[in-house]
Amino acid sequence: MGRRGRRPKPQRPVRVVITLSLDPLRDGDLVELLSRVPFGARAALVKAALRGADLRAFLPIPEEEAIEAALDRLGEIFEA
Amino acid sequence: MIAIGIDPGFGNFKIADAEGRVAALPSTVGVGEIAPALETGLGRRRREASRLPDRVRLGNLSYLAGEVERYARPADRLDMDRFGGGPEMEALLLAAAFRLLGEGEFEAAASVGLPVHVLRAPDAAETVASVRRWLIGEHRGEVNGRPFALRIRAVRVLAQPLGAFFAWGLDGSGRWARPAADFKARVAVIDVGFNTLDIFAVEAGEVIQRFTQGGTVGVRRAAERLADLMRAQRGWAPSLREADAWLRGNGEEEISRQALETAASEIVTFCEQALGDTAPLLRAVLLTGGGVAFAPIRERLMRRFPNAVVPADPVTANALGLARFAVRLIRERKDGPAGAEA
Repeated sequence: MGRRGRRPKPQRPVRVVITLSLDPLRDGDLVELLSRVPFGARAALVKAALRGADLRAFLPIPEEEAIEAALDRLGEIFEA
Repeated sequence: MIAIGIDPGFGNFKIADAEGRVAALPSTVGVGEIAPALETGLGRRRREASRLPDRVRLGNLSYLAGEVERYARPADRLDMDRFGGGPEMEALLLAAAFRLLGEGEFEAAASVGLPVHVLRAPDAAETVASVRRWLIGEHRGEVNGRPFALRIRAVRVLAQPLGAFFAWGLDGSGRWARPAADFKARVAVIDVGFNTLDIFAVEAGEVIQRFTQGGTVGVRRAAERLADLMRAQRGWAPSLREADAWLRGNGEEEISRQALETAASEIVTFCEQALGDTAPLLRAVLLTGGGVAFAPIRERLMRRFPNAVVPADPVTANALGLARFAVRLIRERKDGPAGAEA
């Protein structure tokens, strides 16, 4: 019987654990950002931030914006 | 620039702006004259109250538009090609827009509603293209001797029942005005026109194809039934337009109720077949279109769908919602690339 599952990578990943102590006032924006990022996406967010990415891509779209976008799509159904 | 909604129904041609003003006139055009004595001194309101048609001059041609039966032989166009324009449709557009806006020159973005079965036909793309070819540009003429021009800069073609959905959910600035839960919920629209019956279901901004259907089971069936009954009982059969007008003016007479009940049964059956198993899951069933103005049809639908919502004016609700959506086109033009025509 063959080996099951994903093949292990040739190099072991370098695991970095950083503990952030955030001030609720001074770092309120980061607290808000981290609390809104979907579960499981925090590490990807930190990596993207370190590479200078636009972090808004990690945030769930606010409800109002989602409705606006859906209304636009609804109006384009019969567009050629 | 103003935002307008155009609902070119088979029964009535409706037009509205986002502020809630509406105008509707029968979708009939003829060639004829109104005796000058009848017209003298008539303002717009008195003209409408007197049920006088509008005199529309397009270049060298003159038409009567609206309530023409007493003055000219109406040229009925129930074919789908009419959505591509032509002098009759142009006369209706100018007359309706004049009733809405009055004398002057105007620039507009327009949403136009077409029946669902027209938009699902194999040649739908060509129909949509021909509507845009007709509407984008300048519409100039004289209405009741007054100069009038409407320059349409942007056009969006939508399914007619979406107008009722937008009238229910959007405010005058084209933004969603109800709780977000209403947007996410499943909502159906039943649009009973003269010649068409459209059913449309939306959930979280997506059209649910399975519950979206269009057919030709409109008020026309009641008009045909009335014509048959009149032929049998009185030895004379009215035209479909005359029968429709009779139903609107004499809805309480036994012969009218009989004809309307026949149409109501067919309409409810069609709706049950289309919406049957989703009916209990619907947040609201919006009833719209001229057919809903008839009590026997409205009451039967309300009995069948207890979550039915009837707008203040079901005849013009589609046009009003389309106008609210057209506000978004104006915003798009401001935000988008200069000169782009949607």
